[in-house]
Amino acid sequence: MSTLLEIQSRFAAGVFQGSDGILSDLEDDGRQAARFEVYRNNTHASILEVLADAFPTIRTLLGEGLFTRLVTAFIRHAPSRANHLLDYGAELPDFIALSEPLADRPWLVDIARLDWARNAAYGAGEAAPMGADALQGLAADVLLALRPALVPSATLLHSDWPIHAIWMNADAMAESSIAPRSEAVLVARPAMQVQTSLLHPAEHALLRTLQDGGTLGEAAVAAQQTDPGFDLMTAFAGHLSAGNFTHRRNEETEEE
Amino acid sequence: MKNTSIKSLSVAAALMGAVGMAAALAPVDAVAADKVKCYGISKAGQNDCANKAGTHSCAGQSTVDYDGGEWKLATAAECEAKGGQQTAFDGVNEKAKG
Repeated sequence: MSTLLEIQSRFAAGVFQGSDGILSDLEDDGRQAARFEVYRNNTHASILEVLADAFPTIRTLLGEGLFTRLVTAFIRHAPSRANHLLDYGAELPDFIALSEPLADRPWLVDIARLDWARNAAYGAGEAAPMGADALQGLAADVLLALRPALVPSATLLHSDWPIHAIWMNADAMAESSIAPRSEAVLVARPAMQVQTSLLHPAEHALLRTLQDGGTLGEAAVAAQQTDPGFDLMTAFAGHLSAGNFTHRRNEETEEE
Repeated sequence: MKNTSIKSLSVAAALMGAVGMAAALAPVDAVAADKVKCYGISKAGQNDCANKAGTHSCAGQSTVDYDGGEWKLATAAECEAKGGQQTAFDGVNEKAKG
């Protein structure tokens, strides 16, 4: 007599590993294998739909057939440990990176990270944005010493591949070969909409420095070192008014 | 901060200018504060996948063998070379058409 836990374990193994050790536990009506397949296939079809929704660009670039095979392999490799499906798929970019059949399309890894960043931004926490009005009237040295954080939904991505262009034109990119060209992207959901913005290299340096905990002054210098002609004022104003910054927790505003 | 003194005037001016510019662009706090997060609308349909997929996959995929071992043989080029008809995935292809 099996315990419930043992039966559940065999059932899960049957669903995800394809072992049919569960069949002897099922009522023998001659069709138990077919009945179990229905359950297993529903599970896989559901996860396939979830991941197709989370990775729309990957799905477009691979086409449905190859995407299905990727997901099928991924489910076996990394079954869901999340308690709801919105959180499932975070490991897919790394899985793609290890996939031999996809090694000739190295941009897919960063595209998968972009898709996942967008998916994760939907459900990410929110924080009160740092408003321009709160910064107005600050003395220059106070402003330079501020350490704004990016909002919780923000992901900075930097790739050797033109990930923003590929993401924008996935349909046209599916069959073409892609030349390496570095691009950086900010994904963030400052309010209701997930924003995916192509970043100037200096803008990326600015935001990366802030994300790493640097001061506004350090970030501005990093941006200007990347490109002395960079329009720092417009870029910072844009991110500030978009609501991409928030106050860092435990911020030492009194440190001066 | 120890390195405040080395910051160029232009950086400080640019940042202070940006604050003024941003203040003129949009009142950020007002935008975010009057909205609530409504769970379940941004990614419609994900949680009813099982029901939605149920009839479909039962009908179309009951013969599908989900053996991921086929994956290594299944680049797009190789699949095409073999006529793209690995019997294991007939069901999925039908679904794609339907």
